[in-house]
Amino acid sequence: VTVFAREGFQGTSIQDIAAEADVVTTAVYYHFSSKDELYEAALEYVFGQLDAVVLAARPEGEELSFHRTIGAVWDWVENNPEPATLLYHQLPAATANSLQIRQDFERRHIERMVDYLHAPTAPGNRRDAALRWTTTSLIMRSLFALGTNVHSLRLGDGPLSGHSKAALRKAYEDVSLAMMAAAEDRS
Amino acid sequence: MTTPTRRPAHRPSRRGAIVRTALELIAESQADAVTIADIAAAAKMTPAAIYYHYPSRDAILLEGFQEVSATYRAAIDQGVERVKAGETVARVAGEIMTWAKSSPGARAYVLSASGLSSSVEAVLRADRIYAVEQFRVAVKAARPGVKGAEASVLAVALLSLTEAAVASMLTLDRARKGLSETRFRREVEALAEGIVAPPAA
Repeated sequence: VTVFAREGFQGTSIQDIAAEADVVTTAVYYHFSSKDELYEAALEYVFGQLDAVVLAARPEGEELSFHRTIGAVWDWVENNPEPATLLYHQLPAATANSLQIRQDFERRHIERMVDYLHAPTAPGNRRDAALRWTTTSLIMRSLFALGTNVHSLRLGDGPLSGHSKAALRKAYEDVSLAMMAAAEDRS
Repeated sequence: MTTPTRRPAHRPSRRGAIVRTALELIAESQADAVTIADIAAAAKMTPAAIYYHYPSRDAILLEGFQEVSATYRAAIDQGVERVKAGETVARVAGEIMTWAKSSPGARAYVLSASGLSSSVEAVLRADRIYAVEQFRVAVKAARPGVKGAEASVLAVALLSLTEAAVASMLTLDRARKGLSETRFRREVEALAEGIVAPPAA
């Protein structure tokens, strides 16, 4: 995950990964038959982590708290910059299965977000349903991207480096809620 | 040593054609599957002729993405000007969507540039920073009095939304399924306005 995040899919070789993990190249090939397979495993791992974070922020039986979820995602991105980069810098389809893995992940979260957003009224017709899916998925993708982008633009002399971490976190929460509200208004 | 070669006046340089062809090719397939030989075949040139102009495939792509980057920034600037003139912040997203749809090379820029090489990555990062700064100007124009950190994060949110929208628009993925392009764009612009609108009291 570390090497893929740093170098991107194209720039990463199995040798790099082996060097980083302090194992010989053949040991990597013992577990994974190809770079594609390893990359897919790395993606599954990252998405799995994020699933767990979101799930943990939403305990069974309690009222849904979107606020707590965005706080949890923020903390995760902050503490796990490398996996978060991998999530964001996803190529459309680096490998045959990576697109599928990503789509599955998105679908899980879009469905979850629909729960947050809407009272259980079924959309009136197919067009409304398509519209609801569009707004929800755009906002969901933007929310994940927002977390990663804010962190990445805070680094070095990025445009957000002038703001304090606390101010940014507060603004991130406010803006995330505004994004949810915007999605809700539209469907 | 390169010796100057005489180029007949009626044969303009093929540099532009090489770059255009390369961007078209990588927009359509996996970037690392595109070779100099492929570019040569598509541009109806020999690989040697391409190497005369460029040392490597990455050099071609870098030049291409630098050109596309300039058109991207111009689209952003135009949107920001219109917001300053009184239109809503959604105008910037609208201009970027128009750019993505119609500007040559935009498709490759959006879909294939990420992760290609560290020099292309630097172009992308610089553009993203530029876009956030410009979105921030637009946010402040649309909503005077918004606080510093919030203006910045709103700018990042608008960029994130626009990037997500442009990617789905170009890939026709599930987020766009069932909606016409016009309807989709209207939806994105409405979301952009909704995000920046001050919270209801």
